[in-house]
Amino acid sequence: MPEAPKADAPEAGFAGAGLSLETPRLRLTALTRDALQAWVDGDAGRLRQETGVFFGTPPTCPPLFEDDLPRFRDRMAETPQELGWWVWLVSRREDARAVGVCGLGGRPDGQGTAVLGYSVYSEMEGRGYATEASRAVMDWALSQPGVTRVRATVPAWNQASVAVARKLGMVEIGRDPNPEVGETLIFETSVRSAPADPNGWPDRVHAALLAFGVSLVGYVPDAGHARLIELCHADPGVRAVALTSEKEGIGLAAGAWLGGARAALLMQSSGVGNLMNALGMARECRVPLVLLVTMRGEEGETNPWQVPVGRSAGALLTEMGVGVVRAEAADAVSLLVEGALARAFEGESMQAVLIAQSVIGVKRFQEGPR
Amino acid sequence: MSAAAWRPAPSGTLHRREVVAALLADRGDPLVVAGLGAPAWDCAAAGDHPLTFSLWGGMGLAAMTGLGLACARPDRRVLVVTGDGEMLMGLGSLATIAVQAPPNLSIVALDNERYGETGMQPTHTAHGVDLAGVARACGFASAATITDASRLEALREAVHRGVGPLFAVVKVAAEKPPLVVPPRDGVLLKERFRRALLGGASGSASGGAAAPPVL
Repeated sequence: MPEAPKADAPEAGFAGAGLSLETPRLRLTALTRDALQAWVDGDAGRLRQETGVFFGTPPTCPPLFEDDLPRFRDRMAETPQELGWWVWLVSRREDARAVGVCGLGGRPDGQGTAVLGYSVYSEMEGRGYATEASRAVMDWALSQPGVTRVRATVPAWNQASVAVARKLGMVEIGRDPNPEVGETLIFETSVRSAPADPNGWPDRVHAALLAFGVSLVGYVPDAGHARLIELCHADPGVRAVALTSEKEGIGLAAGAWLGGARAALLMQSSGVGNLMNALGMARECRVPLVLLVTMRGEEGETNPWQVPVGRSAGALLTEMGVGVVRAEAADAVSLLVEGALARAFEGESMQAVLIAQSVIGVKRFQEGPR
Repeated sequence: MSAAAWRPAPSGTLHRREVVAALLADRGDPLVVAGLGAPAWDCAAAGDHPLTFSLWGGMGLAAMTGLGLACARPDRRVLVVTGDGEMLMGLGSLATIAVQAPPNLSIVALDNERYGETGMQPTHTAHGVDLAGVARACGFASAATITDASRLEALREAVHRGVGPLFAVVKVAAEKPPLVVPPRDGVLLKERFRRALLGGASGSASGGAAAPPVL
């Protein structure tokens, strides 16, 4: 994760103090109440005075932003000290023309999550401006006290916006099939709780299991889980139980929960196919389940027999009532596991974290098939 | 109906209800997992109890549920009462359990050599498959086949006080005693079990032995 760009006013917090960020091509200016009022009024001249940015006359809004403009104006009027937590105007450094806006939905919530949004004028699309500007705002947010992660909620149909979230290093952590506005995808990133370390996710997952009081870990071995299995066996506070079939793990977890203990299960995606009837038991009894699934059958898979269940694992789990999230990057694994642990044990629900093959690598059969 | 009203069991078999009644009489410490079908009815006939977790599904998982419970509560005895068909569907779990070797776990398979709930079709044990032999080969400290009522008291003693893991096959008559069913609401069965074992404060979802730190 790159360092946060330098702000002109590192001690942000005073209305009118001026708060801006610079990137190689762009300048971002946190909008004050006066600037937002000028925009609401359609006064390009005053808006230029307040921000130093050139707009058309009257100044238009980038897509999906106009309806929110008065609300942001009201927020900045009420809480001018929240400068930077609402709207950033994005302009080009070379000609001071308006490019679009980035926004945060206010200060972070109790979990340390700040919500990022972005919109650029259609004539400014396709040049990477949204990514460049959003990265600056995201890094600014992550440099603020109390922020551990940044979330973006993106319409599923908007491929350009989805691409921006992915370029920011965010991973999809869920989907909201909102029938009113259409399906949205939820992306998140984090630097504080999950520093970039592609080889360290098993250690962080192990720490998360301990933090949530997991004392029993059932597994059918997979190369992708090798390190985590080692850590569990080496940990005197965890009983690691090798299983002959993944379905055994559901009984193990159910018995553990009956006895007041917490279990988690490790498996590869083919093992998901072995779970189905057992999941019915967990569902009927509301037994908390945490399934950490290393994916096979994806990009680069060399064994075609891994593909059918690998392709279907997420859908099979979903159909059985398991909440499914998917980690596309090593940084995201422990973050998603923490969420799954919390949802499973605090709500007695079934949760799975799929760990993409791109995270764990492709199995080669140099020594012959297993 | 009392067991005494039945005909004598065929030679080499016992009445299943008498076996379970003997194991659970004044049951004291054991936490009980009942495999789906007739073993669950047998346990219910012996007296519905909050510390009996009866399976209505999850065929093949009774022994593993017992293992999870035995690992969670090493201070308590755990008894799995199941059938031959259910055990055959979870043969792998005998290997898993033998490797874990929980000293507080006993598994009793009531073997009528039939799938009782589906029309009394023969199971593999009717063709000579030896479940106790499988358990022994997996490494169970104690594995036996009981065909004589005179050994019931010793079995009860082993379940309550022996060092496990123990696996016992009890050959029972291919009979269908009157149906006595436990509650079939899985959440109810789970909640009352946790409340009875863990106390009121631990009956909630967020209770239990190890609460997570506030994140």
